[in-house]
Amino acid sequence: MSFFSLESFLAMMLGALYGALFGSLPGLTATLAISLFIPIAIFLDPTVAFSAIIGITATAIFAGDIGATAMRIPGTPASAAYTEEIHQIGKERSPAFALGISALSSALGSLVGVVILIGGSLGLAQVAKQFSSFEYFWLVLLGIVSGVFASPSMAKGLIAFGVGMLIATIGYDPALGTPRFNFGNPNLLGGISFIVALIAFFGVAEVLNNIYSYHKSHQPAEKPIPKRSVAQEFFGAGGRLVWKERRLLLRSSLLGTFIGFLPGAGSDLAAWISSNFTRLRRGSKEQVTLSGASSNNAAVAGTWIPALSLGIPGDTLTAIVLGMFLTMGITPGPDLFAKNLGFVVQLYMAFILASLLMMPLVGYLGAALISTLLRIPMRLLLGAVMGLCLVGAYAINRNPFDLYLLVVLGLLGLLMQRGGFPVGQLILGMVLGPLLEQYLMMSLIKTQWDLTAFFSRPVAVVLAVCNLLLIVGMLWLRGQRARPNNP
Amino acid sequence: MKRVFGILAVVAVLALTLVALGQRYPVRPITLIVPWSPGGSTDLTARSLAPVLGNILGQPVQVVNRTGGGGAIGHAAIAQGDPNGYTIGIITLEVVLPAWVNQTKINADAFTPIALLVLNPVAIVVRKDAPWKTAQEFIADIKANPGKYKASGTARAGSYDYARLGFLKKIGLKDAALPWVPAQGAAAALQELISGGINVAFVSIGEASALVKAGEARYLAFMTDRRFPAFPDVPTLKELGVDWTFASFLMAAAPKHTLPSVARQLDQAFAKAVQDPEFVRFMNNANLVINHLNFDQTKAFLAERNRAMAELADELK
Repeated sequence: MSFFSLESFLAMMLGALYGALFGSLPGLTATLAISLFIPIAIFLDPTVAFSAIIGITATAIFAGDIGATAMRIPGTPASAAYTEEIHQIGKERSPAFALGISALSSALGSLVGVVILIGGSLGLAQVAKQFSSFEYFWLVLLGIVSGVFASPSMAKGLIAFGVGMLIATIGYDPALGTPRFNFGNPNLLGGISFIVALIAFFGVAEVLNNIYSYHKSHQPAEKPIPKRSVAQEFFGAGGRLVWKERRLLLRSSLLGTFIGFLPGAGSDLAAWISSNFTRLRRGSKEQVTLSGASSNNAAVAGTWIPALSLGIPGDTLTAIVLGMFLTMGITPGPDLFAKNLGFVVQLYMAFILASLLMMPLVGYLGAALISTLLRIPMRLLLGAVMGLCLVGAYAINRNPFDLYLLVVLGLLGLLMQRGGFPVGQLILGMVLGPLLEQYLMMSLIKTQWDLTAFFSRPVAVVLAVCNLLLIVGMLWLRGQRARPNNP
Repeated sequence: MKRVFGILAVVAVLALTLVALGQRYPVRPITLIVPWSPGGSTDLTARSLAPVLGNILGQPVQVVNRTGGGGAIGHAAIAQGDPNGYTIGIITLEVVLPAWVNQTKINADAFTPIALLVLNPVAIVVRKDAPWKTAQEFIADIKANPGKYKASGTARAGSYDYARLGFLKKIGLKDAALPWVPAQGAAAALQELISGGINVAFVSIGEASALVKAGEARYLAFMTDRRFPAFPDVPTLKELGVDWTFASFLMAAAPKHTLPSVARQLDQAFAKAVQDPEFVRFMNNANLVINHLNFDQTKAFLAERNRAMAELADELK
């Protein structure tokens, strides 16, 4: 049986729809979608199983944008990097346009990633071998620096980032293994679940904010019913924008693939770094969305590079898929290309098919659905959104404690929103803070607190210089921009 | 005399009820709690075992992931379940690790161990271009240069850290002779190994197998009792005169005070389930080594591991 049989195609289609459902709902992640599928997959023919898995992975990350567009709740952490922007586009123009940008750039980003996966798996894997904890430290710092400067108000951005980092310190110390700030509560031993925080800061805070501001601006903000059809907005306007920004798209996709193929970095970091770079260059909302969406999907293909050629998973998703490979008697590594070349080639083809066909299809379905859904006034939807938030938060660990956490964090999110503190930076702190700490501690323990070791490897020096240039350059730019306003 | 008869009668009725209860078990679906997230080795084992177990017991077995707190939430859910046999779970090596036990207040005594299912033995892994060709050379080198080389595998005081500590203790060395660099798990440790950040990794055989097959890393020795079938050329530490074995384990367990008759019945069901050909095929492919022990052997195994780990706890201070 091959990847191009009717069964495989159907499996990919079903996988794509299933993945999209999991991806778009908060609390149901791509990882969960794959792991629930595995007990079924082991009894299927490998080509059918992998078609479905590729369908799931291809759409699950992209579909995170559907939740972000419709209700400002990112379905997956990778979409959190540009949730504000994509939601704004959906509100101001039309959800179909917002999802059109995201789906088409996701598809093309994924395509770029796959092309690199095909062309340079073995060579790039050698680059991954250059990355020890020092290099990761500088890379994560680059993500943080760009994120802090990307905030409109640097002080508020820094504070929000700090709050995020503080929240992330709850739980086991990543280096020494001692519990921190858990107040003797076993529920806090593992830290605050990142997904619960996402749902609280975006979803619950948004609902609360809507209730809070409803009386103030009583004018129901009658939505202009879009004159053009969903298809025109999605493919027409979305496609034109993507074509106009093709250079940005290519840049972001290359960056995304690069970050994706570094084991442990993954699509979240890719989306943050490339959307932040676009923000730094004062990009429009559309440009930020485009660069984020293309790079996180490029990163999905990128994570397969070390997985296929070295057997090191790039993220949890590929870790599960690697397990599947072994289960089916396929061992990753250079051998894979020698012994199972036919299988690998078909895998690549399936990947391309999934990007080009499934993403636009699922995106279009999502856009059509949302366009209908959003005709209902927001205040009637609030209850349903709140319910979705509660169910999503409970679904992750099936732990009632997470529901209390949801309320507390939701209130914090509301306060921050009212005070003008960027939620994006807070989430950035939660994602990158622990990584920074972990690589810092690992490096320090490894070298017995020898700080010069951070500059002793070539790639580390290059990344350190990038950080320095970014800081100096951005401070200079801010100075330049501030001058004409205050002569 | 009447009183004696009365007491005897009550005891007899109680005993009969217990027998009857035991015979009627199970009459409704059983929940199998997995304390780790979907997709991991514990989850994969539970999910492939559940349907087989359900067929044998005649009632569906439902797998529930209770994650969080570094495994504390799920283990607590098993320990605090009703001891009626309808809440069981899979417990892991953590329950005998002193650091974990201190933090979570959950120890091996909180459970009725039923059957050991899987052992994931640990290997000593080095980079392909490492100076040591054999484990003996490696041991001699760290004895000659204590503190020069760095090891990793997981967090400080995590499972593989104990594998290293036990190994060091048996060759007569202390914690500082081969310092531990904390990593966020085996994949991160292996990335450090091949990028030159550390010199040796202590991870399970399966976790490193892809890298070894790709020629990027080598196994020096396994911490097993016997040679490992998939890699017959790699010696065990025992062969080299180092009396140390270490494996993370998956064990079926019920809450404490579960009726012995129910526990026995579950024991028999697990014994039959691990021989199911589909399950065996799946586990082989997934590089998970089925290592079944019955009720009594499992209890002894858990007690022995508990003692061995407690002895190592002093070394950490």
